[in-house]
Amino acid sequence: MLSVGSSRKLTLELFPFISLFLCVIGVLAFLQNLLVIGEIGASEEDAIQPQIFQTAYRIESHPDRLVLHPPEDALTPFYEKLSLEEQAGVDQIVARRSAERKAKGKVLGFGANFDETYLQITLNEIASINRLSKERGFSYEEYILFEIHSGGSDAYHYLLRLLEQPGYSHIRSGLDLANASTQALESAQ
Amino acid sequence: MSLDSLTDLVSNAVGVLILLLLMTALQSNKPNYEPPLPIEHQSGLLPQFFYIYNDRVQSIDVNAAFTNSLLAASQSGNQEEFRISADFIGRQDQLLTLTLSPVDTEHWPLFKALNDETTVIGQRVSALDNEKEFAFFFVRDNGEGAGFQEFSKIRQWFLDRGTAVGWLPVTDDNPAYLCSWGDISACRYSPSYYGQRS
Repeated sequence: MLSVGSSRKLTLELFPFISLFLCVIGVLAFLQNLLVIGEIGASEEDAIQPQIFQTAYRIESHPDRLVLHPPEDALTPFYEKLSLEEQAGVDQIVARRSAERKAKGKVLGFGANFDETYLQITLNEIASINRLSKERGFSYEEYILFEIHSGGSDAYHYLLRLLEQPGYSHIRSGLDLANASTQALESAQ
Repeated sequence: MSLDSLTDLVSNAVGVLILLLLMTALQSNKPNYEPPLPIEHQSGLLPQFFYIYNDRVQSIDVNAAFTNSLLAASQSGNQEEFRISADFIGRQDQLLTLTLSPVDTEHWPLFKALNDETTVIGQRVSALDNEKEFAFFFVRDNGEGAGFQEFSKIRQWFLDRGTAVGWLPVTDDNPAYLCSWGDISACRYSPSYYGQRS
């Protein structure tokens, strides 16, 4: 405050003003520090958990058929780190999948005489890729995404029972309505 | 002596700090986006069961189902089918598993009843604790797609209210089932979406 004394000497009294100002600044700075520390903690937690690239092997389930859609080749970054023998195995898988993708998916008729050999080969491939990835410490995992069309639920249950067999039980799976899952995958990419 | 310049300085400084604080707060509150990958995952959440039949949806009271199952077994020996409630007929499938078939579905609530707390299903939904529970749907697949369309709508409604959702399509040959809790893989009902993880 400014007061004028009898001697006409000017005196500046800043007591309430400066105190309030410093108090406000202190509180704000304290809050900001808390927020920043919290963010650093959260980002450290994220860094501790390695991100695993989960890639969907899509299987459409129709009333009368299954359509297999192998994922795009995502193994290239790891390929150089594999042994020659492992590379040969992966080459075979990649070649087969490439042919399937060119044909817009592999169609397997589903019915009384359904031959599950091709399906078992596919599951074996997924299992071996996941096993290789885990052994070599790659951040890569393939899972099966079932896309159910109306009337295709019995085929899905059949596949589910197949996945429970020894050797496949570690393969994770997802389940969605036929069109919704494609949208979800596109938004995730 | 004028205090105008000092006031100006102080108010500017405080204003800038408040702005900085607001920006930091907004940034830290922005949720970490997890894409809704439809992959099932283990969860500590407990399932609350619902059944969708065409455009109708009904909740399933698990305790009542198993209680009535035991009563039916004690009353008439090997009674195969018994009434679980006004909405479901049960069948003892294995020692720990109970299958469900819907009945009188034309009297079941519609989607809008989920939002209506005067209905039983509305009360069940409003009591659902997102921190501890998730919604699990048995969706009847009759080959016409009506149940799937309804499920798509209902699932989005639950996800919007922060509830994680899991589901299983069911048919005559593969009916809805409930398990007594045990280490049976088929009894591990899991949410398919990263609606919430715990």
